Amino acid sequence: MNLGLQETLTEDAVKVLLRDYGIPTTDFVVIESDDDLESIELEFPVALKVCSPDILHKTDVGGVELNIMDEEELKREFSEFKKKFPGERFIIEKMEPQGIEMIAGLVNDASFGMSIMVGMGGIFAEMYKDVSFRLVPIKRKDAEEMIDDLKAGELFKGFRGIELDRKAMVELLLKLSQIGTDFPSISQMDLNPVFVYSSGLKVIDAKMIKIR
Amino acid sequence: MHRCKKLYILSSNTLSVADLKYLFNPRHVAVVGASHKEGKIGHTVLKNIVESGYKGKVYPINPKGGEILGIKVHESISSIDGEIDLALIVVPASIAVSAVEECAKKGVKFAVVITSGFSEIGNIGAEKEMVEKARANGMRILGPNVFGIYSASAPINATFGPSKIRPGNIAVISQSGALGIAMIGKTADENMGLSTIVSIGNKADITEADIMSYVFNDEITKVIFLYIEGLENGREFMDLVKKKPDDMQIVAIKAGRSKVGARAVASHTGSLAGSDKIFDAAFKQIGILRAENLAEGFNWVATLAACPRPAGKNVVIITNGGGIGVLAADACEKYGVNLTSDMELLRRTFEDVMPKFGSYKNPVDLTGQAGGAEYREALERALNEDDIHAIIALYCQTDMTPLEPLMDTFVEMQEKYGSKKPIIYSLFGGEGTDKILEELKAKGIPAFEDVEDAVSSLKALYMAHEKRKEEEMEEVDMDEERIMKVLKEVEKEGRKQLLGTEAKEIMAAAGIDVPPFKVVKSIDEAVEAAEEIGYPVVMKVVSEDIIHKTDVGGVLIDIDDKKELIEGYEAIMRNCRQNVPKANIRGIEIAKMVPHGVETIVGATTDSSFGKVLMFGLGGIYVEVLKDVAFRVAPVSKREIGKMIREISSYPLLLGVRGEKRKDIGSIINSIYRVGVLVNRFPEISELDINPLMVYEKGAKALDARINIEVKK
Repeated sequence: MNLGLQETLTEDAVKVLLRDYGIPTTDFVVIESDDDLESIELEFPVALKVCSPDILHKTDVGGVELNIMDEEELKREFSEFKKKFPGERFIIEKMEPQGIEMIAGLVNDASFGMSIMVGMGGIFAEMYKDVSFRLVPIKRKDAEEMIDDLKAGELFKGFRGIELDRKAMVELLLKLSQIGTDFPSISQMDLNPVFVYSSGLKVIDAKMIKIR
Repeated sequence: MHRCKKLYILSSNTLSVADLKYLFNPRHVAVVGASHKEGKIGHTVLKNIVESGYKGKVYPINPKGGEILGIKVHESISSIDGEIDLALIVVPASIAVSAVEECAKKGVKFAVVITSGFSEIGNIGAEKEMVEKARANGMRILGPNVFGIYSASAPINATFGPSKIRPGNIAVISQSGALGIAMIGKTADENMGLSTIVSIGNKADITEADIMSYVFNDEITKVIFLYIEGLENGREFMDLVKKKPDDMQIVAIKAGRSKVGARAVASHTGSLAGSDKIFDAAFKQIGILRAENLAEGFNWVATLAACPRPAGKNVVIITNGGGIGVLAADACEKYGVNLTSDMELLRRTFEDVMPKFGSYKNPVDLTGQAGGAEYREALERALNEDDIHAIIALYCQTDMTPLEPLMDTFVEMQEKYGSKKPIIYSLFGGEGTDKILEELKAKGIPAFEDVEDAVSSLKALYMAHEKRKEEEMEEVDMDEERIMKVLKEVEKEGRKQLLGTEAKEIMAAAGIDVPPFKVVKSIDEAVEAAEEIGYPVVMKVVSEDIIHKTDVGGVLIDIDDKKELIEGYEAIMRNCRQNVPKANIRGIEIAKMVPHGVETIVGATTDSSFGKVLMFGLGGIYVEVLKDVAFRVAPVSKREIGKMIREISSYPLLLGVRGEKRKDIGSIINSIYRVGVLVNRFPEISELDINPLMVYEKGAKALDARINIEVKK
């Protein structure tokens, strides 16, 4: 597979890559015009997101609309988006049930090369900086240790009735490590958030930047 | 209000300063149980008294008579003619009570009972009897189960610990005897000077509070080093510490941080260790510095004892090596010590004393060539510059410069400027630097091997001198009658937990914003209530027998209209009758459905040692996992509540993240303040939770509340 020439990969391209590696992610379609709206088959509620290589932080520019309940609302939002982001493509995807938010990613470190990261996700990620790093490639045992490094690791052991799918998280890290090995041109990759459930997980949003 | 009164009722009234004068400055002393045999406690105590240069008369007491260390031994205390202020009791436990009684009858003012084998092993009766016998004749007891007492003002070393104690300005007060002795050894090792060292032992009579209030006014002590395991009455302790002189600092080591530690403490002294987080909160509120471990405690104490108050926040690092300079700068960031980056200030101070390849950018690098003369120039410049307020001087051993002139410089600077401006040293290397460290410590100069210890100690100095404003308490109005009425009703029914609706009614009466709600008993009432409140509404079953309302189908949200309301009413009733047929259903609560904001938790609990305690945290699972909550002992000012809120790691969430606006922190402060007032006015409220307190850009609403009461016996 080729990552193309763009410096930033759009969400859909990253998600297709994840899917190729067997990493569970959302069901989505990419559309460009109103006409495409008619033909889509998705269960409501859905989310509408702008999908542009130039927009890395979609939320900050008002490029994400969640919980759209029906077709009428979708059409309305879509025409808004068209006005706001002329000439861009858009993602419509099925809303997934809320899980516990985790973050996983790759970073190509200046001195150590490709490294993998896991941490507490969502808005708390920045506040608690509860993250763990290893150098790629990792073995199963490393993935296990990464989860145990986290304070949020408690959630994978059973905490107040919550027990997250540890095995699924380990698998995700191993596959992500493989991506890191296969594509040394990755500069940074973020899977954030990853919704983790008591059974399974799903990557909700993803972005990737390549080395210039 | 303190409900829990534990052991040691006799010790509840703190002695006045004058009362303890002869404990610390005894004119004549007796050692009851003085031993002829070297190595015995009864021998060591006597020997230490003699060797400490004690000026008064010393009477060894032993029925065998004879002489010990050339001093005539008396057969009994009653056979002595002169007056005795202090008796050290070192006889076996079986005869200790009668020995104490004899001393009391003789008119001895204080007995320090070193003998162990009393309440610490369950022998409470004998201990009580001992205190009664002493008190009957106006004698006071320190102990039993202590290592003695050292007082520099006498001077007297009446302990069975090390004999060499350097007099100085640090008071060590320990709840543990063994650790206290070890601390004497360590202070000697570190060349720290002591004003007094006391262990409290079983505190059958004199408590740490008594000792502390004496030390507050002894006019020698500058720093108190406190080892504490638990407090019977945390409130009294807080009130006492508030009375300490402003220029005296307290560093505390509190054991029982871990769960295992807390258990060991409980079995050790029999005093209940309050929850550790609450100790943390209380210490913060009264300005006690809590050291993480003994080593850190010693570092801080040495620094506080030696250094004056820094006049401002500008700190300069002076170093001869880039590496340790960077390490120190990292440590400054970690501990929040402000390295000044005012280039103009740095330039004018150091420019013309900089060596060729040096840099006056903070950390100021004098380069590896720097010796005594270069350090003197740079230090003196910094010490004479009014806008530099504290200095960290680092030295990394090189073979380029002789060490002697360096040491002379450091000592000279300390002597000339040490009382005006804090200078903290860190020297790293081998034998040579170790020798300088030892010399500096011997002169009472704060000097450490590790740069991090130096920086952490400077931070402690800053924290110790942080101005503590007098806390202003505001009057708030509450509908006390309404609160009383709810509480009486609950008490009458013999319940300990209030219904959610009752708890919310109390919150509303206390002036906390609660979304409108009503308990209804029929569909008609429900419709009427919902119309009055306005849709959308939430419906919840009201029953003391149903704790997990959602699990049994007793909660419905987002009810938009009359039709949904009627269906919902029937559904809840049906679900509850089916799932919990025996539950007493009082009705259904109809409450206004409010928008989502930032979920926070406000709580109050009753600590066995500190009484009413307030808690604040953010809602959500991560906060629970990380235990990201802050505590304060009530009552607490709004200013302190502000600090408490800022203390949690998730505080940025309230400031607004990801493009959200700042939340109404003032409303949280008001809500917490009112909870504090509420639990103090109604001490029967033993536990209280507002979960969640939903916070918006404007306002904060208590959506759900839980209150437990402790019914008076």
